[in-house]
Amino acid sequence: MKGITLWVLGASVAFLAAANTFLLLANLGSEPATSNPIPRAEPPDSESARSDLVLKLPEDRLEGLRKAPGQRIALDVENAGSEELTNVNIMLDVASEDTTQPRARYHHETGNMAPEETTTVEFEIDLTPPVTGEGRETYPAEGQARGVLEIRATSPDGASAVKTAILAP
Amino acid sequence: MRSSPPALTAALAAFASLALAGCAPSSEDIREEVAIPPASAVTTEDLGLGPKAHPLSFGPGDKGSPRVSPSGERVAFVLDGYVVEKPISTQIFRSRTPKDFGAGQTEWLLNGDLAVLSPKGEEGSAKTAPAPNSLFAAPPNKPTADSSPDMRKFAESVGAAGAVPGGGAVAAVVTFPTAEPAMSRLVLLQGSEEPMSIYLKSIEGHVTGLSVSPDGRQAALAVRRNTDDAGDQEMSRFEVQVYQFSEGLSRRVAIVPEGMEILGAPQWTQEGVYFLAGEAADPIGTARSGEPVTYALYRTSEGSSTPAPVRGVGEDFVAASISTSPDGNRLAVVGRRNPGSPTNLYVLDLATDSLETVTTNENMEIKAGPRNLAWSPDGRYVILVARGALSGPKAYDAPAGNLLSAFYNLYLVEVGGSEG
Repeated sequence: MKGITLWVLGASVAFLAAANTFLLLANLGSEPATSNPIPRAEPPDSESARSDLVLKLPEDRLEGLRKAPGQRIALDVENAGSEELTNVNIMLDVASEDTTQPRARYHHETGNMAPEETTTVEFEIDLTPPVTGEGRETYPAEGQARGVLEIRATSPDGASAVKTAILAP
Repeated sequence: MRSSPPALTAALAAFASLALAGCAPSSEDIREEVAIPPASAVTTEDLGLGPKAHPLSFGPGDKGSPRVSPSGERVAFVLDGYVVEKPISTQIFRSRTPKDFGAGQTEWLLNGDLAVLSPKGEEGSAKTAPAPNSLFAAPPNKPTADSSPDMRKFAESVGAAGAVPGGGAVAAVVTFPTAEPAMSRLVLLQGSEEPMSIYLKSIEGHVTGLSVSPDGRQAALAVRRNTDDAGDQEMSRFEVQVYQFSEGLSRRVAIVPEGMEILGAPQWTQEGVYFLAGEAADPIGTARSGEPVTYALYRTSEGSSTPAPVRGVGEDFVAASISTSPDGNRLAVVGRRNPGSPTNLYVLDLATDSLETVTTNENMEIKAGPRNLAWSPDGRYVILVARGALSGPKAYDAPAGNLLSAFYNLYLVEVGGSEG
């Protein structure tokens, strides 16, 4: 009986050794032969922000915007946290896809926000395309540049949120 | 006897666990459930161009004329009319021209210098078509905080320019604006500290496009030559010429059928000169029939001045831009299989005439134009410019600078193969 046990144990050990070798070889085979030659470009550092502050900008509110002054846009600001947020500030930048064009900044101070409070902030903005100087080309071609609305909500407590809306030419 | 059952059980348990381990998913296969952010806010594989495309830039700005440095480590491009460069894998941009430079094209020269074409300093250039440019060289020295990049002008009235595939030298065509008939002359620039070579033999006609062969010995030219006047209307016809730098001589290799024009620069390849041609556009960019101009791919035939359509791309193929690989054996083509299909990047193997689809376009606008396509010096990837199609306003949970498909950005597309 002892011989049988030893035989079974020996066979098991041999099997395990062989199986391990095969697994090792299989794993080696699945590794890429060379390292990935294509370097990956990483996006600019994403901003680490507490999620207590939430900006909501439904796309249907953007659909009525025209390339003209006096455009009104409303966005919802929510304190989704369990603590009050003080001095919540909203900044809205109106820019063009052409980064050489000047951008206009609008500011709104919401004040303190209680936990789970939502407030709607309305801006009146000028979406008139910037006038370019004589001989100055625009990039992309005139009338093809997309509009950019970048909205940031911040609080001295460290909470922040960002939203970007892209407007079709 | 008494020790046998535990030993056997242990052995069998080990065997069973090993067997199960072989079937179980590895840690790499296990995915945590995650919220899916907007595709353009992160560097996921979902770029709308298929798995072979990888982003090289982010954020707003109209980008174009991408060019990979001869070392393959950096990429330069035009951003909203000025030239920037950056390492392939990072987002640290460095301006190489002043911001109001109006640059339209850039090419790598020797030692990190960049050649830049800009209408800067060209009087009345904005209203002429095609607008002549001046040729500048931008040395790699870093400008200080209170100085703008050092730009050195080498030539004026430049009608077209092209670099040796892989970079290192740029050939440009200098026109004589007052000459009648129109005359041009080739110049060759290798660096901001190098003397510019001037080829004295003039080329008759307007050179509208130029590319240099991989060995740097020849240039393929698109030339528009005036023909007989028909009443008050001046008639012209396009032809393809090959210029031998060693001899300083140009020879015609193809005449484009009357009423057709060449788009961009003909491309010198191991299998002849390839070029895009279509019905000549009127000033508002439509063909005589009123439809937008479409261009097809042609190649020159040995012993014949009549170009032949390239069958390998298919009869209905609509091409937007082409670029020869650094070894001259492949052609990157941006275009559509037929007028109704999406625009994609294709690679044509010139020896076999076989066409490979490289991107899988899902609602992206791949930027057309002859300058917006570039090979890496090793021939392993192509860089193109694209942005997501936008039918209405769209909101993202990210700053504008992190967005990808919302704006024209650079994409590196693996095309396989490498060149020695």
